Amino acid sequence: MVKRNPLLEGLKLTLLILASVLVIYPFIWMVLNSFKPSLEVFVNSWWLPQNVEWKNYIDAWTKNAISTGLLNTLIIAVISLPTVLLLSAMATFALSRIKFKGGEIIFYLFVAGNMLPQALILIPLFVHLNNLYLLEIPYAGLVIVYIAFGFPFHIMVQMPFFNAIPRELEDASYIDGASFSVVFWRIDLPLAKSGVVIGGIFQFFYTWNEYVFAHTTIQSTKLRTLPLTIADLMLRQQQLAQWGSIFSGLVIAIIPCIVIYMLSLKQITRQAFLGALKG
Amino acid sequence: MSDIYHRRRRKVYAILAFLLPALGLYCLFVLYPTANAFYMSLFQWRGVSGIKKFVGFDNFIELVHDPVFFIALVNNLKIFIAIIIITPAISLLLAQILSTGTKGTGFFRSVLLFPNMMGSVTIAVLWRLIYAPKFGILNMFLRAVGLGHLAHSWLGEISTALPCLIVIMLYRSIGFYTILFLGGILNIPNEVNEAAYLDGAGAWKTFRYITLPFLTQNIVVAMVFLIVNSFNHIFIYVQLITDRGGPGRATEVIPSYLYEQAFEYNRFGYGTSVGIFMLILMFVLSMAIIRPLVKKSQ
Repeated sequence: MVKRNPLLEGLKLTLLILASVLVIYPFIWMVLNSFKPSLEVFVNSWWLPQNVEWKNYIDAWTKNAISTGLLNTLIIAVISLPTVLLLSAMATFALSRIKFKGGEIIFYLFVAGNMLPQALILIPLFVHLNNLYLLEIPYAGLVIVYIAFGFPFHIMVQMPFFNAIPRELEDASYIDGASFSVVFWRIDLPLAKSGVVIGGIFQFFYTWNEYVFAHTTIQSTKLRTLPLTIADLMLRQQQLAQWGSIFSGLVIAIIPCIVIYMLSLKQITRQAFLGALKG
Repeated sequence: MSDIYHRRRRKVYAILAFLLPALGLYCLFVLYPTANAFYMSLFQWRGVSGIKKFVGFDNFIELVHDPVFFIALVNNLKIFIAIIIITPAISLLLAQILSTGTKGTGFFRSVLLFPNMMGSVTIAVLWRLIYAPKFGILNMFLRAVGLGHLAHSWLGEISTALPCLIVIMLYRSIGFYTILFLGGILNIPNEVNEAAYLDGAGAWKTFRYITLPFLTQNIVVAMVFLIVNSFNHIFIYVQLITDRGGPGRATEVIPSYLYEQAFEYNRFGYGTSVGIFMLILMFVLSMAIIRPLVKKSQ
């Protein structure tokens, strides 16, 4: 296995570099154009801006309601993200550590949710939320939807982490008279933390970018989430033609994702794929 | 005796307390609407406040004869076939390359996975701009390398709109599957590869008879995701990039047709029957693709 063909190595590296450029250049293009005046986008699209236009960012932030969208998304994320993680961890704890009849069926019931086609649920869910008057309370509909539709993913991801905890650790506490909730908070949750965190990272990206449910349930302009604001900005461009500011809107929206991505890179690439999916 | 009784009762309470919040919300907001979809597909129903009329399987009969639905179905199947073949092919190649420990593996990994985190809306808007006829980088690039005659309105023409959407789906997903397969490849015990090498197996044979069989589990996971996504992810792209299925119906897919029927024409019953058809189709496709794979691995 030691012998390496330099030609083959060169070819491999070329392929990888090519793939990376294809992935990353659109992104660089977006950042570059976000600093250009709208007219320059047409004549000088693919290289450094000749005149730097900071106004794009101010326009995107104030006139084009990126700030409102950001705030709405943030509110929804702050409520739904910890809730879905905690409730999923509790359910996974019950399904993994407290054995009982029917537990396995409930687990598969949850996991099956990963395969539901989103569009199918859209209509009955919309009707259901409407009947429960949840569409009229700001944020309530989306918060509930993001929580309820998060369970299948989180329980699937967290399960192997809970399963891996040695029983002996818990037994010692139970003999000392500890209750289930003490064992959950003191022993299992800390040990399964990385599974919860990985799920949380993905849930953040999901909440930050979700469009379909938001588009269906939000009617008021003031309550629009970030993806809706971005999409709306795009669809209005035919009249507005503020091309520079749509690029800067995209950049603002994506910055939190980049920060979280950079911070969690190791967790995602190592644990999520080498650990969780392999069981 | 009473001690055991107490412990049992405590256990029941614990199960209820830990499981019920999640299970309750899940039943109320995921399972109930799903079950309700089956029921709703049997009605002719115009909007939330409209009158419901029971029509039995009429919606499904109409569906079978609906020429637009047929277009959506064919388009959706084209997308499905393209991504279920191209995604694993490219991802396996990249994963195989990354697994040999070329320089900068960590860097390439993080770059390739990045589009997966960007989110569908950002990707949709970005790619719409990339394909834009005047300042999009695709046409810019073609003009720069002297292929200016190939530059055209990529999303505006019937022949190129659908392939353009497929490219976007590949852009978003290939990194994810590369990392998924890479995990599987790195889990193959070294001795197995060494034994194959000593037996004189070349790169292709090692890949075919060692790597692939070891990856079956990962490939099954990938197939499940790919099937679901060829009906879920595509929806946003069609809504935002080709303005709900255009030009004409060239990029109409099942979810976008469902959305149009339900939320634009207020045909909630008919829209749901489109959704039920999609659910059954996804189930059949999953069975057809995953069962042989699982059988092979046993």
